[in-house]
Amino acid sequence: MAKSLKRTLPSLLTAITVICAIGLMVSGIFLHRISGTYSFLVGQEYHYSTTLGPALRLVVDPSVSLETMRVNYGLLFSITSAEVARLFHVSTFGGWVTEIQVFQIVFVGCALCAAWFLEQSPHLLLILLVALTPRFSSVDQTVIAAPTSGIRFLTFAILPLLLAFLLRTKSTLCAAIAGAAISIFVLWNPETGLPCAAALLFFVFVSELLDSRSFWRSLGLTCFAILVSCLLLTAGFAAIVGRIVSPHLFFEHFTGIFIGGYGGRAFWHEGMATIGVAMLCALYASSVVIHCCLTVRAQTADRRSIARASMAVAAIVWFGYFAQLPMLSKLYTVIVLLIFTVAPLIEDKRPWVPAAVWLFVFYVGVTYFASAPARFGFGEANFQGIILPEDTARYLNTEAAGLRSAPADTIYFSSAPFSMALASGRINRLKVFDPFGETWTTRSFIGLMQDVSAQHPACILLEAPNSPLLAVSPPRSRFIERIRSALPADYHFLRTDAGWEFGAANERLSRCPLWVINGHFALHSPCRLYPRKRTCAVH
Amino acid sequence: MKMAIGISALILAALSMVLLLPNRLLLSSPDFLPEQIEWTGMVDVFQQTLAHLVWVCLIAITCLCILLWPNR
Repeated sequence: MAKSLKRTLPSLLTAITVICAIGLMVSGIFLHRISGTYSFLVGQEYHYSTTLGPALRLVVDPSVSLETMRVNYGLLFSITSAEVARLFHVSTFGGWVTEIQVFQIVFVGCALCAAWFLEQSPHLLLILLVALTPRFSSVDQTVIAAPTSGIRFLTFAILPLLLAFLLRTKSTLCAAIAGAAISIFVLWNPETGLPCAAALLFFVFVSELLDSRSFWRSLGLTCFAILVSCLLLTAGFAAIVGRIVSPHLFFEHFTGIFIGGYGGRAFWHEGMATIGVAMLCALYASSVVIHCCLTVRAQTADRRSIARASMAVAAIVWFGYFAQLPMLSKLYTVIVLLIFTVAPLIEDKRPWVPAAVWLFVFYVGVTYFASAPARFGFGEANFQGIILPEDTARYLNTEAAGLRSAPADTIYFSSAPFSMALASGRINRLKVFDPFGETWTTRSFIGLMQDVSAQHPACILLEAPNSPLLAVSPPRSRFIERIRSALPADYHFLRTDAGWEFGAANERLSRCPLWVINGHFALHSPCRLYPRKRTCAVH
Repeated sequence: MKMAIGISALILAALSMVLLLPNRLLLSSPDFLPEQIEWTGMVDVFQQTLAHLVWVCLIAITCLCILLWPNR
């Protein structure tokens, strides 16, 4: 009986874990997101705007040039998100949330495949499942805070898969494939592409050193991989944008949000527990890499151990993210990278070693699971496929109707630019998608106002002070005030209606719709008095 | 592995020196809007970024030394 239980228990536990994982991952797809005003604004709207704003812009206005917008998380990332949204006719905020959930499943699927092909260890698969499922499930905040979702980190799941493939290739072919992969990874998302690039170059260099024992040959192959990646990166960028662009734009698009920092926090922001876990991870990651180098030197290494060390290299470089935002939630992706290196530990003969790994993974999984679950339910959605408090939903619907009636070149400043773009079909033609979310410094604010002045629209709409969204976010209120005081002097705010303060430029007042001037906001179609911009060359 | 852990611990200990430096000694430009500071609590993290870069460089140099130092 005891023997039979010992034999069946692991299979039973595995089956329960898999069923729970599938349930947690898939459930949210069939339900509606339930949100309070604050969590909608801070958790969802803010993050979707800065992450998927450029993708939404590509969906709403396919003619828009990538050169004219700031892309925070990579060109391929934005283009793929937009194409998926277009393919599946995603037209509501709830639809975009579902798209993120699908990408979460893709991430976990890729990670599991990678673990299997890299190690062929069912034990490692189980560990990965336990570590990944809580974080990437429908009930976690990652679905709501899109920048922490699988779509941003997809290359981290593909990297071990690629390393598993490179185990079977040698020398020049290995370097060429690594170079090509680096270019795609960087095009997908430069910030996650760079750690992957470091990992692949480490693999090319060290595995060649192990095979040939020649430093110069290893260096040559690594340089060859870098050359291939640079050439393909330039070609890929030119193909996406449509022409060879200036180095300035090239670097601007590839640095995105991360070169300016992520809006950093002090190192001791979350206290000693977080620092302790981070130090443990840092010590482990660097030990794996140094141990690999010692075994390569002693000629006792194999290519699989170099692949594991490459994952640790990616983790070390990606620690830069944690250095800027020292929070346990930001350490999670570092831990995911490191899980791909633990296969020797979980097979260790000393029982405390695999036990320690499991304990750590449970700690990570449970911590994230218990932190701040997202809510989904069966109720009827009242705004964009989401269940919001009634007054907030009513306000946003009115605001969107007001925006739809405004002149085509209107620039608006809303707390909810992603929702407004979806509900009204209108997107500012500014460089940034979310002025508040992407304007952190005085310098960038000056740039934003120069952008507004250059367009000199007939109307500017500012979110009205009585907005329930501004009520829960005083800093946004102050930002709107800052914009108002920095606008060119010839703009006058005539009235407040439909959730907006309507501002018009003096000399263009005659071109402004009458309802802006006299306050008759019953109009839900574009005003005929407003002369539309000619888009046809034939007169 | 013990040797690897020892070297890594030494590197991390050296790294802590960078974090202990007063931030104003390093080049930094805290230019954040007040409402952004209020919104997210963002601070200038130049020092932490520098510490990370130093760590990466120290590990890279250590690995190169291990790999390329001639065997006796």
